[in-house]
Amino acid sequence: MSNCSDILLQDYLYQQHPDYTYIFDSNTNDFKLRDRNMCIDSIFDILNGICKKIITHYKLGLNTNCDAVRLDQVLYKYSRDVFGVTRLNARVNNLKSHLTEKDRKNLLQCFDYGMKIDSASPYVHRRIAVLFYWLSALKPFSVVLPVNAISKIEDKLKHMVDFHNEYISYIFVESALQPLTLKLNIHDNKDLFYYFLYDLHYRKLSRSSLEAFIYPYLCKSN
Amino acid sequence: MYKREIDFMDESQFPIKSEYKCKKNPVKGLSQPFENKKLTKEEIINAVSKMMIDSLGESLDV
Repeated sequence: MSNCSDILLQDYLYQQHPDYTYIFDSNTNDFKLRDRNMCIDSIFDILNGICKKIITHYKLGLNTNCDAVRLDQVLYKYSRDVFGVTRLNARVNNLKSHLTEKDRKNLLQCFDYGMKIDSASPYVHRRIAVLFYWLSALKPFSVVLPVNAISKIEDKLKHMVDFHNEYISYIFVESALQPLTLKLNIHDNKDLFYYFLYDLHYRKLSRSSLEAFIYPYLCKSN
Repeated sequence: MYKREIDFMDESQFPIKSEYKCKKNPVKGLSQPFENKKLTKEEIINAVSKMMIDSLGESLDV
């Protein structure tokens, strides 16, 4: 995953070709595993860079942290939800020499398995909704405030401090959308942005409600 | 036993571009066309940090 948009478009767990077909390991006859540490390091670099710029610009004394294990779990569960059908298709097609066409069709009735997303190519806003869901559920990001933090700064950046995990999650999603020349513009409306982060932080939102909310706020970036 | 209703309908009764035909034979693909640019980490960092700083404003004065 050399490109940040690969987080949205490529499977986090298994290796894929540039055309998003899976790479099979001839020894196990299953997908080849990806180097997940490299992906996490790449994400850390980008998020640390963005946070540093924001903190330096406003001369804040915040220390931001990320739990690598939780972030790994977020991306693992995201990939499982978004690429579940694609993985099934790839594994079944890999066995096509051993299956009849009828067997293959029967196995690929994805609506029968109770998968969260029964699409081989979910829309972008659907992928973002799933990513937000797991980021808010597992909360990998945290912030440490210095003891002598000035209250004036806290008022203006209340959402950045109170809902730090959700704020960094939003930045993470914006970073993933940049190479796709797309962006979310929820942050343009301060009140809406605050309530969005509040709901992500406190409420048990579903993937489908997030998907319905996010769709109108996804637009082309300049 | 619990098949989809759509599977019991006679496909030949519907015109080619009907909603029924589209649902029965969905075309796989992302709804919004988008580019997939190769951006460096620095470009992504600069773009997103500028976007977030612009939304917060230059000054933190209330």
